[in-house]
Amino acid sequence: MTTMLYAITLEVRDAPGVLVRVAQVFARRGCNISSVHVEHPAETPWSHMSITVQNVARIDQIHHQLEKLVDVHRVTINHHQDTSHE
Amino acid sequence: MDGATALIKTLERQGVEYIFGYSGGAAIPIFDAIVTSGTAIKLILVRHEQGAAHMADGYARASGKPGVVLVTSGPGAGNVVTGLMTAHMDSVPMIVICGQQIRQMLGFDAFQEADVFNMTMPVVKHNYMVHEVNDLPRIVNEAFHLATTGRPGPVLLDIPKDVSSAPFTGSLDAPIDLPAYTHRHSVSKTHIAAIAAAWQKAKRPLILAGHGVLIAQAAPAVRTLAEAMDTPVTTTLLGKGALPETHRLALGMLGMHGTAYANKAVVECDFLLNVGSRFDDRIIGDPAQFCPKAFKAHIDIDAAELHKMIAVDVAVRGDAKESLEALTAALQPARHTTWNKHLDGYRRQYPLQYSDNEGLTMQHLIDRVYHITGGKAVVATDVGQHQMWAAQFYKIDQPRNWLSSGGAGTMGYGFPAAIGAQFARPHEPVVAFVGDGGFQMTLYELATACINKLPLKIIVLNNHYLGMVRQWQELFYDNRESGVNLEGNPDFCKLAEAYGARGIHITGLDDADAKLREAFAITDRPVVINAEVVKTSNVFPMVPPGAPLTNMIITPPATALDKPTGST
Repeated sequence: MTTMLYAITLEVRDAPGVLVRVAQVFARRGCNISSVHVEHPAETPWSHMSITVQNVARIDQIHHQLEKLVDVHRVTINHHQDTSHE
Repeated sequence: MDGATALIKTLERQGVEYIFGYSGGAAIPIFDAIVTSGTAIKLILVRHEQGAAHMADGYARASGKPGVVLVTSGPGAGNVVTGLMTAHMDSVPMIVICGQQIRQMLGFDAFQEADVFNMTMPVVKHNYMVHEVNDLPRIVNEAFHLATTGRPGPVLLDIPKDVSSAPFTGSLDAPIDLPAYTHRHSVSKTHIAAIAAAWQKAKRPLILAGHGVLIAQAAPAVRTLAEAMDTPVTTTLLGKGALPETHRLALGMLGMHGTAYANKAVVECDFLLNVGSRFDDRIIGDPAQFCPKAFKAHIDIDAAELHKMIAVDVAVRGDAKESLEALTAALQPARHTTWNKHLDGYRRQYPLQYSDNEGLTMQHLIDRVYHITGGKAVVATDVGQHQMWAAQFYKIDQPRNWLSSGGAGTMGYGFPAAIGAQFARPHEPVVAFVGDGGFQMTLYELATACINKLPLKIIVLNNHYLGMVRQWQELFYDNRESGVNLEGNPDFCKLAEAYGARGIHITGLDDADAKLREAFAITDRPVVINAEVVKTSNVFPMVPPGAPLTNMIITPPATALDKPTGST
């Protein structure tokens, strides 16, 4: 079976609740987050969040809903097919 | 000065006239500051926090200014969640301030501690937990900025009691700091040109106007454009008033219970411009079969709405007014006489109508109220059959005269929203059309309406049923009634009198007109008009949920219908 993997990187404010806001965009659709990593690199204004999800429908819509969050500055989504389990 | 006083002073600087509130332990410092600060802001003490939220919502929709709510922690905040959801779904600006346990108790399950910050995230545009007293003015200013710019919405502030009580040493002029928030988007000239080119070639153009038109104050721009292009306009439920509904080009509401001629125009048009509507499932039916022959363009301030339900040919992200004005400048005026005459044929063939054969119907009463008020009232509705009939029969000619919970479909909204609207516009007639079901969800606010001597008219269209669900059970569930019979309702007139309102009972067609006129002559207190109406009428036209608009049922079906599969 082919799996579509999405690697989502976000620049967000370093503020309480940002991770919850982002996670809710996925959870309300019943979408499971495979991995998440957050850090605030020194000398940058933004925290960097990296998320991977699988087989989520309408990623374009998710992209816009993430960008709409008041604490989210920038969203980049890369996707590729994972055929390793075929 | 303490934090609470700084909060009230900042609200005052934001132009707040009213706070709709209900006190409680964690909010006492803020309620105290309303007294000690000497503010001109008037506190409207409600009887339940949900009432406060819907009042603020009604105030906002009727005035264009954000409504403000003040409640306590825990259950107080919990009770505003439905009101937040309602405002969030319909893009209504609102500021909700909640008291909270003291900071050192957060996370300890202390008395009336609820995690309101996390509870409310999905139903607000943004929210804050205020940890630093000197941040209060900045956060309040940010809340107003967020609530009123871009796509408006509710913003919640959760303020621990020790923060509101702490000495304030900051500045009331604190500037906002929202580096990740952008709300201005320049309208793409290329896209406007593409829409103009398609419109210029169109033979059967149609404008679909939504709530975004009213929010952007773009109703005059819609009219200018529609008249220049001789293009008919249909509106969503919340778009009522985007073009005066008595205008020759107005087709009324489209969708599940829209007019037959609006839905037929959608099906047959070759060009559709959606401005400020999010193509809700209640208006598009089956998305795959929506408006199949047309070139489709969509203007919305929220990028997340573009291509969401309907993939369009051109999508413009931007302000409705700015976009429509750019379009008007890019277009040569046109005439569409054949198309408009064709639609006039549908108006004659399938008019909105009702019969008096079985007695007093909701439609009849709404129609009479429309005529008695000259179509000039501010109208709030609850949710259900009466809401759809009010949308059909109470034509709205002016923006901000129609208040209805569209996206959320919140029963209990109509009456408190009308209270908020009457505060916003004290010298105009305000009418709440409610059902006997929804009215009982928030009727305790009769106390608020009576204490403030609001001359509201609350028209209870009483069929002793949850009529819309009963209609679905009749049409789709072999007429098996379950959980819809409201026999045993209280005597709404006696109830009204108990609160200090006037109660007027309409028992049928014979006394309806005289009793309505009697009610509308009363101006010193609220009037509850309890109208006994035909119990089992159904709303038509009806597009079964998930079905294409071509499957619209205009008159009652003779045979049983299949259970719907789309939407809810």
